[in-house]
Amino acid sequence: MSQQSAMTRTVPRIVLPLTLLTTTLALVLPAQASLTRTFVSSAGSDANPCTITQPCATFAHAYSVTAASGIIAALDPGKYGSLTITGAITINGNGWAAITAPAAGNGITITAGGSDNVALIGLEIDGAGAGYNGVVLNSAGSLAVTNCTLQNFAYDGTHPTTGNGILMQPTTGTLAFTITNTTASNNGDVGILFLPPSGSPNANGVIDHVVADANQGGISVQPSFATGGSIVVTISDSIASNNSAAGIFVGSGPATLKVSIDNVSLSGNFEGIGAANPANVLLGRSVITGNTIGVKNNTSPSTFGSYGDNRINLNGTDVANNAMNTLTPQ
Amino acid sequence: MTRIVSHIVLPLTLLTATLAIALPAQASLTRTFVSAAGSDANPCTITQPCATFAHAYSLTAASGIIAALDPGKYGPLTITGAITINGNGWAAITAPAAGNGITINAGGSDNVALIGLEIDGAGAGYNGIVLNAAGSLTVTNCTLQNFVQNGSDGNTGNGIEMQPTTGTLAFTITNTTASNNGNVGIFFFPPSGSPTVTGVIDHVVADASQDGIVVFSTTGGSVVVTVSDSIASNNSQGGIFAGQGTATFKLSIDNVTISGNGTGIEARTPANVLLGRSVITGNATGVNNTTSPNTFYTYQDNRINLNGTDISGTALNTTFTSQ
Repeated sequence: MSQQSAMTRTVPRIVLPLTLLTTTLALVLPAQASLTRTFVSSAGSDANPCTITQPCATFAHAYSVTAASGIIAALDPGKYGSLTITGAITINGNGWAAITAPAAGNGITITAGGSDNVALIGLEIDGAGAGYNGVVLNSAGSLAVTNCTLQNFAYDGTHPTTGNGILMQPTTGTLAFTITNTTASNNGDVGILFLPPSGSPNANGVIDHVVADANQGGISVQPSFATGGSIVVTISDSIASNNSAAGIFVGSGPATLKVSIDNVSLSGNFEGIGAANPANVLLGRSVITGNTIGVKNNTSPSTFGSYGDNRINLNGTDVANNAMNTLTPQ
Repeated sequence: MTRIVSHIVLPLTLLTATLAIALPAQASLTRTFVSAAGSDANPCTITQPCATFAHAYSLTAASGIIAALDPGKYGPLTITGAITINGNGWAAITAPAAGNGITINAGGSDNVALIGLEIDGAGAGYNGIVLNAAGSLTVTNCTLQNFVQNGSDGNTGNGIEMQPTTGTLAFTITNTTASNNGNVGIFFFPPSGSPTVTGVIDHVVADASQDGIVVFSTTGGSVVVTVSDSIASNNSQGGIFAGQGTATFKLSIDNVTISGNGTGIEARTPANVLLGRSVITGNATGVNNTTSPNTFYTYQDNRINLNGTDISGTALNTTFTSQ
């Protein structure tokens, strides 16, 4: 009731010339996140309302005028700047939108609510050898990354929170992530890294049709610093090759950790797959060849299971440390 | 919300002219742009894009990106350092007659990425991409076609030719088509030296050339290449040809379709071949194995039938089993 009274008071019925009215509104009204779908264009301006006929120039400004759970779409190729996301949003780059991360900075930072869904589609996010990370997720309910390229992020030589294509580091709640049809390459640390710094976050993750190559590490699920939580990740129909450390590394810490690796090709890495406690690994239908070490199984007692249909040959050492457990398809 | 916008009005032409004269060309831009409506007199920014990849490259910082704003032809290019060329699927390069589309002479740790380019020889150019030196090469979503071979010169008529002589190269070729080339679709062909290479070829179509995919080695070094989820068909000679030289040589062929070639797969010493889950049919010869000692391994789940001769030379080695 008081809100209604307030509104009544502040909307006087005065007729003004339209141009003057527009000017007045632009000066008086704060930016409102009321549009469901906003647009950016390389010909746009952040003085525009981010509509399709008057698009904006940057993702950051469009984000400020987009409603929760809304969509920002790129109308044409261009660079749309780095962005911090604090709520549910979809960014659809349509395959031609690019973000160059600032030097020592990140392309997209996500610090959203525990039930907020964030979707990133069709973006080329580049570190140009100077930016630190492509996508950094601190918190969200879900993250979808599809048809994206994340490359050329620089590792500072000390912190594993630099040099990553995608860094997910929630400390609480449950995160569902789905990364598909995406390439993460030439990053100084890891292509796709799940590395909670503390807490007991839960995560359910899907990595499918991903190419993680020519990084230090390809894909790492590392709850090393977490104090608990439950993590389930499936990696399928993907490639993790030509990385100077491990193609896929899973393990360490006290969390419950289950990882499925199915129909994945791992070659030319130092280690194809590295696994340590507490990882439970299911490995099937994968090709592991031409690595210095094919599989380095440090789980003890062994919780690394193989369905017996992997091709692990012509590595310097095919299977190192502990033997894999034999699992039977049914 | 209070904004102070100072309005300084200069004649735009005067301002532009002044800047153009005062500023030397600097390779300082992280991301540059080309457009079919662009001009190489422009600074290659998004609002003032350039016309050619070559000029944009000269203004782009190391590890930067050149992106194509619209469909067009952007000319051949020589790359000497780390760079990404993102054609967005609509940028084209027509190689000059008897020339190459993109030539790469980069440093040993430089990453080169080529994305979304149609590189065409138009029946007169010699090669689509020639890599002489780089740390890594990524080719994705590209088409390389219609390159011609000059007589029997193996350095001509190729979609992608990689010929490093030293150092370590990682290459990743994905979602790419190399077809209708007079010599080889994708060719690793070091002329000398002892290069080390780790390569990935995935979701590639290499068809209707003389050879689809050929991996050779030289007098030393190490070769590890995986070919997966790909097609090497309708080539007049080999679908996939591995061998030659004395390097440590490992080639994995997994889930590949190989049909309608002269020879589906030809392997010679020193190649170690791992073959699995592949279909090899309708070739004059399915597999020709002349490795000695026998290093052509099969996981015994390939479909090698209805070729003129299914297996020629030595029977495939069944030592390796899945685990």
